[in-house]
Order: sequence, then structure tokens, then C-alpha cells
Amino acid sequence: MKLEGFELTRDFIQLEKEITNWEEAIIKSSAPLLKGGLIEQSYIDAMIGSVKEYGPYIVIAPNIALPHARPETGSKLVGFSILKLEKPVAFSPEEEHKVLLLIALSCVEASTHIEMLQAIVTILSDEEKKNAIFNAVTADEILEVFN
Amino acid sequence: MLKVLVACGNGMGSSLIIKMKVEKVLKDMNMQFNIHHASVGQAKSDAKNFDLVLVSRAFVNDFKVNEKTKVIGLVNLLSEEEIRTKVSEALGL
Repeated sequence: MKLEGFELTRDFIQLEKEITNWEEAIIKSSAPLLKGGLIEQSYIDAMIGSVKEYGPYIVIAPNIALPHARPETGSKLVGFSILKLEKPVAFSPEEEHKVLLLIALSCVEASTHIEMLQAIVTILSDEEKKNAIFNAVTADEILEVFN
Repeated sequence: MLKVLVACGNGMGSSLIIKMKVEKVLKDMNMQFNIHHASVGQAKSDAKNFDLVLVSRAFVNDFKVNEKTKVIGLVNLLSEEEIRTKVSEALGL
């Protein structure tokens, strides 16, 4: 997937067996954005802070979370990174807040942000593509779904 | 004209996703509507001016509004079926 100023590559896709807790999941999922200079550490803190403040609302559908924060907390360039887990991580004690797929969004105040969300939502709304992501065992397989 | 408000924690993520999906569902239902999106903080005070408020289920209890405004909490924001069912129910269709 290509957006103005961002191209999804293997470097932005991670697969892990399991992760300790939801905070670690957010940190891990957004690590490629930090490494790539798309976000600052303060943005990661804000993503965690917003779940603490508002609850697990970033779990947008069963098994899927989109961690993100306000642009002014430290995002610099539009983009996203993907973390797929084999064992779900809990964002609350409720069954509906168990997550296998995290897509960390670097939100900027621009039309490319809507473009990025639209593209991600279109893929995740497609059962076939969604299943291909959940069944993937390599980053290349996930990359293929997004391209 | 149906007045719809969608909201989420910071107005950058789930509210925009709900907006995309609700627009599609309401168009399919042949409804006349206009739709606004906001952060929950802002939406709490604006909600009374709308017919329908759609949020992630986690936020439903933040809204204490009058009889006129229906608040819908969604579990699966990607499910047009869930949105269609809950909107129809709220509007008594």
C-alpha cells in the first residue's frame, strides 16, 4: 500500500507468538514507526494514555485494535505498522476485547489520514483479506494482502 | 433530515471509521442525513442537538441525553449489519 509519503514494507510488519499485556502490545506494534522516525516516544505514551483514559475503545472489531493518538502528541509522518499475534492479548477482561491484530496508526492532520483509514477499513471489511491476514505466518503474506 | 453524530476518544480513529460505515449504511437505507464527527469530550455537550449518536460501546455510558437523542454503542465497527440493525431499531423502522 502506498500513501503520499508512506509505503508499507516488510519493515512495518511484525509477527509474534504472544505478548505480556496490552501496553507491551502497543509499544511493540508501534516500534517500527518510532524506528522509522514517523512518531516520537511521546506519541506511544499518548496511545497508552488514551486507553487508560477512555478504555479499550481502540479495539474496533473482534480481534482487531488500532492504537493511535492525537497528532500533536508526537506524530510526524502518516503511516502505520502491523503486529500479528498467535495468542490474543487482552485489552479488558471481556471476551470482545481480545486482540490478535494491532495496526498502530501515525495520525497526521491531513487528507492522507482519511485515505489511510479508508484503505485499512476496506481491507479489514473484506472477509477473505481479513482471514488471509489472520492466517499469515510471514510478513510477506501480510504485505501481499495490503498491496 | 436525520442529524447524526459519531464520536471517539480523540476524534482521529474509530469515529472516522464509524462515519465511513454509517454513511454507507444510511445511503443504502435511502435516508437523508448529515453527519458530524467529534471527540467524546466535545460530543457530550453537542449530543442533544442530534437525532442519533454512534460511538464505540465503551463510550455509551458517557452520554446522558434527552429522549429525542438515541445513543448507539457498537461492538464491531466494521460490521455494516450491526450498524443497520441498531440504527433501524433506534429509529423504530
